[in-house]
Amino acid sequence: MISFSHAYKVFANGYQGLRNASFEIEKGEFVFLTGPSGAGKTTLFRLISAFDRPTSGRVTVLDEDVSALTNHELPLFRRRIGVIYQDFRLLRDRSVFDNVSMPLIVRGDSKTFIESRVREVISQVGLDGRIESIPEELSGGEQQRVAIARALVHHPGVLVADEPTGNLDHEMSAEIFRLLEHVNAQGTTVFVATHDTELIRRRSYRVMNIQGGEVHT
Amino acid sequence: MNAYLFQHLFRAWRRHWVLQLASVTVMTLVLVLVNFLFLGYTAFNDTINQWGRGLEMIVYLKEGTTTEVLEKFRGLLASSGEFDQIQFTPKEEATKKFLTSLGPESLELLKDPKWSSPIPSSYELRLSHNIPINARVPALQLWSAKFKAMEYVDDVFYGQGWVENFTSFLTSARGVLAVIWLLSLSVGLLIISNCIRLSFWQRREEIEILELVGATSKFVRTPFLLEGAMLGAVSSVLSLVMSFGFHTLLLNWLAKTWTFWVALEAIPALDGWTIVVNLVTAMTFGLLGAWNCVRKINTGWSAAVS
Repeated sequence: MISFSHAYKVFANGYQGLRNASFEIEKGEFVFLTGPSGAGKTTLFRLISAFDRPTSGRVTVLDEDVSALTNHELPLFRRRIGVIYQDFRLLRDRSVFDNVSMPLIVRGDSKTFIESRVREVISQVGLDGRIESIPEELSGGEQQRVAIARALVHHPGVLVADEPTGNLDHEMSAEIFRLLEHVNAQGTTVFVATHDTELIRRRSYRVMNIQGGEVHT
Repeated sequence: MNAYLFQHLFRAWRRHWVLQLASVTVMTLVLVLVNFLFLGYTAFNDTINQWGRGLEMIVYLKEGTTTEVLEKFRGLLASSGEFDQIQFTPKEEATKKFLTSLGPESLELLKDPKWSSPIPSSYELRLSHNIPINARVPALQLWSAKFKAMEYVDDVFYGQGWVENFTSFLTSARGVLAVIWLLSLSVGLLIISNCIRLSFWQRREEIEILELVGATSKFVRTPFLLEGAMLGAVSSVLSLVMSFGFHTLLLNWLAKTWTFWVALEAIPALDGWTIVVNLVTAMTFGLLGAWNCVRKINTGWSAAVS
């Protein structure tokens, strides 16, 4: 499902964001990635979501070689994955409905389908009453739930979440993790970067660690 | 996609209305300038051609041209339908006119058996009023060439020097106008391009999110291209309204102050074709300006550089 083979990412200033990363994540797995700030978590996630290409080595996601994706294939690939960020990355002037429907609009789905599917997912993340609200009217936890709904609305094969609870209190974080576990239980592969060790300890999922750009599985 | 496009346009105007307004204003002024240059050129062209309406062509015939040839020649001119006046002046009448113009005593020459008149028979021709103004000079040149090729025609006179100077002046004016037109529209292209660039950068976060959820470059670019075309279209419509307004004001002012000198009918308004060309050109330049910006920026990897 996700495979890194001797992957390196060296930035223009010579900084090594990722060093010789090799690991595999199977279909339907729930995997945590831990490590301090600046360790390379975001770099790794940007490679998985094809927002960057490895300098050398091979990164394969959903049987696609990320470094070989053409500009034409890139959007089609991204429609098969779901990405969640710490800062939610929501369109601030659009409603919850508009934000969540975005992946379906770009895919060219019909209005009727979008209407029903978006309402279904918004209900799934518990935001039925906030469908017309804009992000600034929502709490941090609610905004992250909108981001999760957006990442799930198009049935992605892989869900990657980069510090999804970084801006949330403990109670809200636990709620978000329960939601991600629920998604995983439905068959989606979930890869979550976090440094909330308390939440990790309470769960029995596989944990990977990254330090100075080196991944330890 | 359609709903998304219109939402984009609406948001672009709502969010960046100062920028959009500034771009539309400058672009409108550029187009008004272009319109007036064009109107000025057309008015000048038409005025000169109006003067050219009175131009006569004189076809001098060779000595000994028979009556049969003269009739054939008249028949040819009449059947062409391109002449309002076909007047034959025999050699004797032309000579008499010429000598009269020199003074009454010159008529004595006619009594001198040794004197032979150098003035030939001629046809005085005036082009039909049905021939459009802008086709009159080329018609004169064409007929002149035809007549000169005829064996019984000695010479043709229609004020060639004046017509040639006028034609060459118009050609130069057309060239200068084309250069100014291109320069002005290039300024417009630059303005729209910068407006879209700013709009693009201000919406960078949105573009990154669109890329994140799998939007194609076409999906991301199309609204900006439409925005550029709309800026061009709005500027064009405003420039046309302003041009018509200024034109009316100018005519009113001229009618009050310079009516003895200016033929008001020679100052035309923009015609249907010019309006269409103005609109299409402005939209095309808006589109090109936007394309110039988005083709460089959005490659599907915008978020990769943030």
